[in-house]
Amino acid sequence: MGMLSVALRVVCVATAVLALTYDEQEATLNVQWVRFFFRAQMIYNSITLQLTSFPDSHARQQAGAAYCCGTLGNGCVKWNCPSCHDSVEAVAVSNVSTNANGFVGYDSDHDTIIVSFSGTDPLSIRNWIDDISTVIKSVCHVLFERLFCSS
Amino acid sequence: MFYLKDYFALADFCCLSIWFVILRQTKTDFTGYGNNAAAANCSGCEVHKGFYRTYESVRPQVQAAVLSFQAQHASASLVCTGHSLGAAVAQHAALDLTISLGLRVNTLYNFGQPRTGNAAFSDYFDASLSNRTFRVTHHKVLLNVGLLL
Repeated sequence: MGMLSVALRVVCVATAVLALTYDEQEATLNVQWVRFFFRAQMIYNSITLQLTSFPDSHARQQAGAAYCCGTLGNGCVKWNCPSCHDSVEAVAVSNVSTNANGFVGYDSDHDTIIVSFSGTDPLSIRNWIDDISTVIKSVCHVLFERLFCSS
Repeated sequence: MFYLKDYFALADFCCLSIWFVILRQTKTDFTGYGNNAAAANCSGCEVHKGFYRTYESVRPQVQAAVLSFQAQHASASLVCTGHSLGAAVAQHAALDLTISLGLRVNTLYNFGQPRTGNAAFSDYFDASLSNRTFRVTHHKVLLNVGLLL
């Protein structure tokens, strides 16, 4: 919990304000901002809540380590990011067009082969659209009870 | 007690209602991995196109790497994991390694996994991997809880 966390909380509040003051006539401008803020907030929420509340630290570390891959950094190649630990040899797995990022590794401490993928890359629009279209669907069901949603 | 995070859900909701009108639904038929529908044998299965395509794009790399590590460490157990979009991709990876390569995936740990496929796909997945899958979510993350509907 440091500067980054505080900064993300600030942009989250700004998101709420922007969304509440949403104006049809300025849709293009607002949506650009909302997109940025929402993504920062979503990533902050889900990474901190989900990855910190799970007791199995080994699995959590491996899921977190995948965030070092791809455009977020080249930690999976160098294996030097904070969640990486010494006894793992890893091969980075990625695709530029779909922005898939992850690694396949062997952990000698646990005698385990690990296949791990990172979630939404904050620098990747493609990933973000995949994520958000799922959210849209669930919200759609909540609001309209399948009236306007494909099943 | 005032918790700022309680208001994040509101922010989620506002933003999403805007995006609801902008983005289209993405869904596609599940035709197995590497377009091998016969090996998958999953009729009526539909999956989220983005996660499916994302996994397909790295499938050869994943398979090659897993087989290479298996050749060096024959006794090693196999674990798939991922977070958010990565969790959905990890689910595809675990299923693919099971049905295409016949490997035993010991555990699948998914953190905050969104919905990956329809009920038919879910049943199909459960048949081979449900007792070895752990899906971890947080009740305040709309992306996950909303998908129960």
